Amino acid sequence: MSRSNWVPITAIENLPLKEGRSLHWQGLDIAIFNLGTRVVAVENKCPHQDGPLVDGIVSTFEGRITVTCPLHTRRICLESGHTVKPAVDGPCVRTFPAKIVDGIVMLQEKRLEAEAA
Amino acid sequence: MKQQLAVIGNGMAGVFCVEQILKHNHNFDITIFGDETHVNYNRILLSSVLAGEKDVDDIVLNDIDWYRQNAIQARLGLRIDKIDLAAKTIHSAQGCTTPFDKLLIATGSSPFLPPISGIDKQGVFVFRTLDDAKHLLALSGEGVKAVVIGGGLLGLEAARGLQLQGCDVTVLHLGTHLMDRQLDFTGGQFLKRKLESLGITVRCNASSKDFTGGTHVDGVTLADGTQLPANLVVVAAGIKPNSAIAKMAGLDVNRGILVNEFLETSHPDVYAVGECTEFQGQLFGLVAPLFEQGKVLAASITGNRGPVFTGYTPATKLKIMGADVFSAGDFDDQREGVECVRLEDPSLGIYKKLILKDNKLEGVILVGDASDDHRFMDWLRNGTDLTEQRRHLLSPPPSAGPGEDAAALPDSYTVCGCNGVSKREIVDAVHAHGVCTLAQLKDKTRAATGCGSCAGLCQSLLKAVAPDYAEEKAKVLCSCVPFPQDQLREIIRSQKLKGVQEVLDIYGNGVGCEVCKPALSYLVDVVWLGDHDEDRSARFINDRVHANIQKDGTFSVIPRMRGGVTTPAELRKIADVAEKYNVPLVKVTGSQRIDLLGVKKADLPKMWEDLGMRSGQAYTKGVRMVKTCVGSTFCRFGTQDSITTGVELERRLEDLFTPHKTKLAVVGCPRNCAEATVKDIGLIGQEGSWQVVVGGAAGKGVRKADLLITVETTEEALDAASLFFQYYREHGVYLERTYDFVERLGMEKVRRDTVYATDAVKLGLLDRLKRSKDRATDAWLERYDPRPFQFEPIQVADNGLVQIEIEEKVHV
Repeated sequence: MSRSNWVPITAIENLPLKEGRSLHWQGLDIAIFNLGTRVVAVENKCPHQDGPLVDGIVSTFEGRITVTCPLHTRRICLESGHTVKPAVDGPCVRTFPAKIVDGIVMLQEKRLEAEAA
Repeated sequence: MKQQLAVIGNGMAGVFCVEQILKHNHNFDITIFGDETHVNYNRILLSSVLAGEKDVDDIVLNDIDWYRQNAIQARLGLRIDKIDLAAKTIHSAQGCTTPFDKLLIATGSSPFLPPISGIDKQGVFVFRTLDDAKHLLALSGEGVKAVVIGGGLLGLEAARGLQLQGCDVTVLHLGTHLMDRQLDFTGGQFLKRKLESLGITVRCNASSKDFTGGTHVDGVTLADGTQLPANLVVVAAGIKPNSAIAKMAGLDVNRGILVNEFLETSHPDVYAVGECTEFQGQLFGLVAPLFEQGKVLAASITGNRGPVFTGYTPATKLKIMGADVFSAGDFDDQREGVECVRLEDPSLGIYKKLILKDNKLEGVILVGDASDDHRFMDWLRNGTDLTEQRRHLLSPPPSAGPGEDAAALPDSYTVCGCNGVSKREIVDAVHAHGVCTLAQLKDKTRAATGCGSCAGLCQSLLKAVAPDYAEEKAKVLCSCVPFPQDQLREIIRSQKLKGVQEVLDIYGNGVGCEVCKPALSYLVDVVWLGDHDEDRSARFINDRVHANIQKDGTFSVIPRMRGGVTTPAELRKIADVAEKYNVPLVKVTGSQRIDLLGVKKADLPKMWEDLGMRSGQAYTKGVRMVKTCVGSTFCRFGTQDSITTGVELERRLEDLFTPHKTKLAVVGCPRNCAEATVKDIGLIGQEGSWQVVVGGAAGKGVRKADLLITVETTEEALDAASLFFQYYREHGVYLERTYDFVERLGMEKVRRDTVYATDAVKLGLLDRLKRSKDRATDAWLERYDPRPFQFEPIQVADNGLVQIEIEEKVHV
């Protein structure tokens, strides 16, 4: 198991509450969301028709926090990456560990690299 | 062997009576004779046909299939002119003879024609039948001078209808005040002011002497010598029963055909119903008692003699939007021992008067607000002792709970006076047939299909009685915040909630979704006139970046081009921008604007800056554009300056949000080149006036816009459009287009609440529009103060270090 390496990304002020911001890094297009007490990061690409999840509205479905894709209103679970509404089998959206430390949003580098590979 | 039942008269009373007979076990072959060629229609609504609010088809009560399904022979266009009681036959003017075992006379009434010379001239009409209405419609129009003789119920409704068709209307009334059989002098004055404010000229104490002109009428001369020009005259001076054939046959006839409490005439096999009858000295001119008669008669004629007709309490309702009148009972306050309770509000134009004797209601007059007429009617009919309610006679105490008013009504209470539907029948319809919506109720019982004024009461009855009603009615915004939108508006207003998150925290699940958040964003904006807490996380992406997201995540840019008018310089700029940013597709839209498609999000603010134009709001639920034709500026046919007017209209409404997108158009003549009749709001220029139309659509469905009002000046047209616009903003359900909105509310209500509302209401709408407008700004100005990383992605160096500016923040 590789040593985790948390990388500072941006100040939390740059992520308005309950909105997504996109992030290009290491060849990846990532959507990162500020949920108030925590941040979550997912691949910025809806499994349905590649819609930019970063432009979606933060929503909820059966107790899970979701983002609604702006193109065809699919709801994607921000924790698991599953499409929960409509419930479809198919590829998940990749999710990335993220956290806030002293007001700075951090992503885990190792994991990113592994995913990118 | 079946008995032959012949019915003379295919009007509301006769056919209603037949409907009642069908409910009994009967042994009749039924033949109905009608001298009009139409199937049975709702005569009360002829004024709505004339007003253009209803089509002829809308007022049909029984279509031809009904006759077939019930094995009823309809002989339409046949006038019966003789009854032979000895031979038991009836004879038509065309010469055919029909035998009968039982005869039902429902010949109705005819207009009374006062002795005015020249009354037979062309252009002089009565207003009684569908054909009369059609003739009037054909002749009426802009600038036509119409004179209506008679300021009673029918005359005033005809006057209003003609005026809505564009005529200049004068009402000549012989009496001292309008509707003098139903109103006292003060009530008549209030009504006169109402009508005059709607643009109808009223002259009382006016005795018409002569209709002047050649073969066609060209004017009216009054007894005092006054001359009035007239292209069209409607005589509505009262009605008289059609009792002549009964009299010739030898039946007992006074003014009407005499009937007893079982609706039997002086001959054992002959019955009569409706306006042709006379009962204990009473004649009939309104529909409600006729239905009572029909029910009694149906029982008598089918051998179930028992129910009796006991006469009726006269009650009248004037169906003119913006000039409500209700009158019932005896309103004479000079009688011994009567008390009079009055309310007069000249600014609102509301007059209410109750006549009480021994704490019981004897008469009532309502002008300007007849919304609670059923309360008074109920007191009158039942002789309710009002001792307990003396403090709340004119303004009822707030209802204890939903359904309370409905629950308080007795079972026998007539909910729908037009069709004689009682509360009991409605409750039965719910229990026996599972009725739970107003549409189903109309279908099953006919309630609320007449003048429609009882629809509210029907709704509250359904609410109280139908088990499934609550769910249907309570169409909540979303499971995240389970309240209907009108209730949410009220919550937002009363709880002073200015942000979407507040509403979600207190009344919802705290998170929301893409359905409720944009809707709540709209509601807080419109309730607080733009002075709300804007929350972009609750807006759809289009309203965060002020551009329309496309299938590949790029955006489209449409600058505002008011009225579709542009300049060479502007076009050059657009061309330069398109080249500079490698815009893949430049397209002229259907809305007379230019669309730059395939734009990267990051380029948006820079393009706005380079364009130097305003946002066209083509991405939002808001004011899209005002499409215009060339109009009088260049067009050979243009009668109005559509371009200047359209540009001004767009300027007044742009940058505002609406429940759904709002598309407008202004055309300079009725050729309608910019398709104003299929827009949410359209202005149609014509010689000397504008028609303002609303609720049009040319999308998935095509719907011709309804006429809101016709006005003379451009300023009035802009105001009328603004009134409707703000009204739609305040009452439209989020994502409801105007074409659904006007159908849900009905144009009658829309007009009543906007262009025919009191000045105070109109000023309120315009003021709220102005205040919202004062706060609204061009969304593209946000380029000067963009929100953090709204357009550009966050840049992170590949080596994992944050940007310099972030480092600064961290170390500060």
